[in-house]
Amino acid sequence: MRSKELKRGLQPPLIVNIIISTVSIIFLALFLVLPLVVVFGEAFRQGVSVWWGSIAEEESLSALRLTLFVAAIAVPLNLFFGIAASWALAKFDFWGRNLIITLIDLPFAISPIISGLIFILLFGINGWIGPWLIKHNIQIIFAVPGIVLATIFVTFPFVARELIPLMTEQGSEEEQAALTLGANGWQTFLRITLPNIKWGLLYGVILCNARAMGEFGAVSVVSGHIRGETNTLPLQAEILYNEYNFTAAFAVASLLAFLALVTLALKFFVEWKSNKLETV
Amino acid sequence: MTITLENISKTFNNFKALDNINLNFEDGKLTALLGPSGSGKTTLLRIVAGLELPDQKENSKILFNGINVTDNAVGKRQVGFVFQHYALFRHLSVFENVAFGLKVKKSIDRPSKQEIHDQVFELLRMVQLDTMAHRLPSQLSGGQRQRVALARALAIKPKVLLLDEPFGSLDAKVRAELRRWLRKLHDDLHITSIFVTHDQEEALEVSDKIIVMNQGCIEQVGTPNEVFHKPATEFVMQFLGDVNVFHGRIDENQAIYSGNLNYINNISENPNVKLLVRPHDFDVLLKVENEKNVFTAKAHRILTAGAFVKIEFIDKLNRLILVHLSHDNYRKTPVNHGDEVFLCPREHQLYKNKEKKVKEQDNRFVKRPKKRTLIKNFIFKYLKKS
Repeated sequence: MRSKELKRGLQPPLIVNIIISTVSIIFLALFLVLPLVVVFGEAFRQGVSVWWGSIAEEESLSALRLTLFVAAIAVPLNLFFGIAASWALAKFDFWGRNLIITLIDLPFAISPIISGLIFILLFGINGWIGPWLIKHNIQIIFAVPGIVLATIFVTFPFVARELIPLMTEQGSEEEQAALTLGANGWQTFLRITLPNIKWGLLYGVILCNARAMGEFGAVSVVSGHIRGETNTLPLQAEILYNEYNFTAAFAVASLLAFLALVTLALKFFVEWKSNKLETV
Repeated sequence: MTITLENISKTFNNFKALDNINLNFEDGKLTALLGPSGSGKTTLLRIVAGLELPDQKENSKILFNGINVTDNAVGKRQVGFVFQHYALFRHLSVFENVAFGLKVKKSIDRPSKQEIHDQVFELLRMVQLDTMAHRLPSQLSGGQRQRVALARALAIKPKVLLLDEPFGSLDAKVRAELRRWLRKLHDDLHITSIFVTHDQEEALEVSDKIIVMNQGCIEQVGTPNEVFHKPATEFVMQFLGDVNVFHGRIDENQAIYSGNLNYINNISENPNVKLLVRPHDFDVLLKVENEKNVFTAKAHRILTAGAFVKIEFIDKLNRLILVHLSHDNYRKTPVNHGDEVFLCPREHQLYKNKEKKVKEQDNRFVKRPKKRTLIKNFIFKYLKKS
């Protein structure tokens, strides 16, 4: 009797419970599930063959290739940078450390359009280095290098943001122990530091990859929208949509959504795995 | 191996953690670095290990067996270090933890797989953990983790074993057990060992030699007996167990007056003295012929549960005096609440009071004027000029 009362005291009343649950479920359905259903529904409205036809088109395929290519460059580079930066920032204390931590967040803080514009101002015809680049026949803006650069810039913080708190919390005692046991710096990193951060690192990489494939704003500014050359999947979807080619636009969008879903599944797996490890 | 430290200082920002330390650790001995937290003992241990660098000075040196190792990196010093919180590799099994030091050796020096396996299991048997070789550190109890940490440190056949608060985070019972076990292990291996502790009982029980530290300086070096019975300074006396402090004065006849206590002594330079008496160094007398060399006091609280009887007395100056009596003695002189009796110190230590009142606070911070005062001064100067 008492315990029942106690239990009731700890939980909100039933009616409140129902209201809160319903509101959140409706919200989720409206803002998250519905758009996804619409994307896939529109994409497959005229059948699988039409969907396949839109995707197999040369321009869409090249957009897919470019998207994967950009991600394949940006993600490893940011992985490397992220580890190096968070290692330095988490394990050592030096002057200006907080400033650097703040700077790492810069790409998150500013609008992606501005990020793209920065590169135009740097490498464009009227930019700082633009004339020199033209003289030497190097094209960055309105070409693949520009897209890669913009993507790297925008996805810069993901890995570091994930690792810095993790590494700070773990401290450097284990590394010191490894050093007293005679390990050199490289051995310490490979055998102790890396295994300890591996799940956090993977999580950061997955988020970084998701953004690298889906980035629109910054890439849109630097790409120049040359069909079959400098269009990534998000740009391609926009172009098709603007041409009233809805089925094709949604087909491309569905492809992007599919990539995102795969990433989410991976993320879910990593979270589940790392949680399991922690509870052991 | 003997370890010699010459003129070692360490400053963190503007905080002096160690102030010109000169020490010698004897070969094959188990030495305790004893002191309150913040006394610099862990810093000293880490400097010996090479995990911390001493302040750069011409004459500061760390010698292992007479060889200067001041500039040698941690890995080259061959020290076994047991961290306060063990610092076990959380993703590696007990076996892999212990094997780590052997596996990271250069391929020329590295033992074969079978040899590593044998050596690790020999160590694990020694620390009685051979049945847990496959477990992860998170699946072990505190005492077991401690023993893994020790086995891991011993795996590289260190010349020195350094332990930072080895029993700090264990409960009382496991602590006592491990303490005895560590002493036995040391007697078997005879490896030069230094351990840091803030627990005086632990230091007195386990070590061959105790170094008492306070505020970055060494207060006393000696065997447990010397440190306990002949404390060199008031701090050592206070730190090693309970103590009653009586402030007193010496007059020209070299008698000490503290309340109603008269003591003849030969200190003459400074009239202000402190008389320190341990609680177990009091005799409780029900009657005395003359009231010399005794304190008259009233029993205030009597605790009979425990190995000895603890009595709190209040004397005429309203000072609290702690007395520990054996149960036998208590039976001989039964004291009841409110009884007035005479307390006679059997043994005592006298320390001169410093000229000024000793500041309780740590004064090792190098003083700098505050920014605010600097700005204020600047503004004042500016205003004066104009």
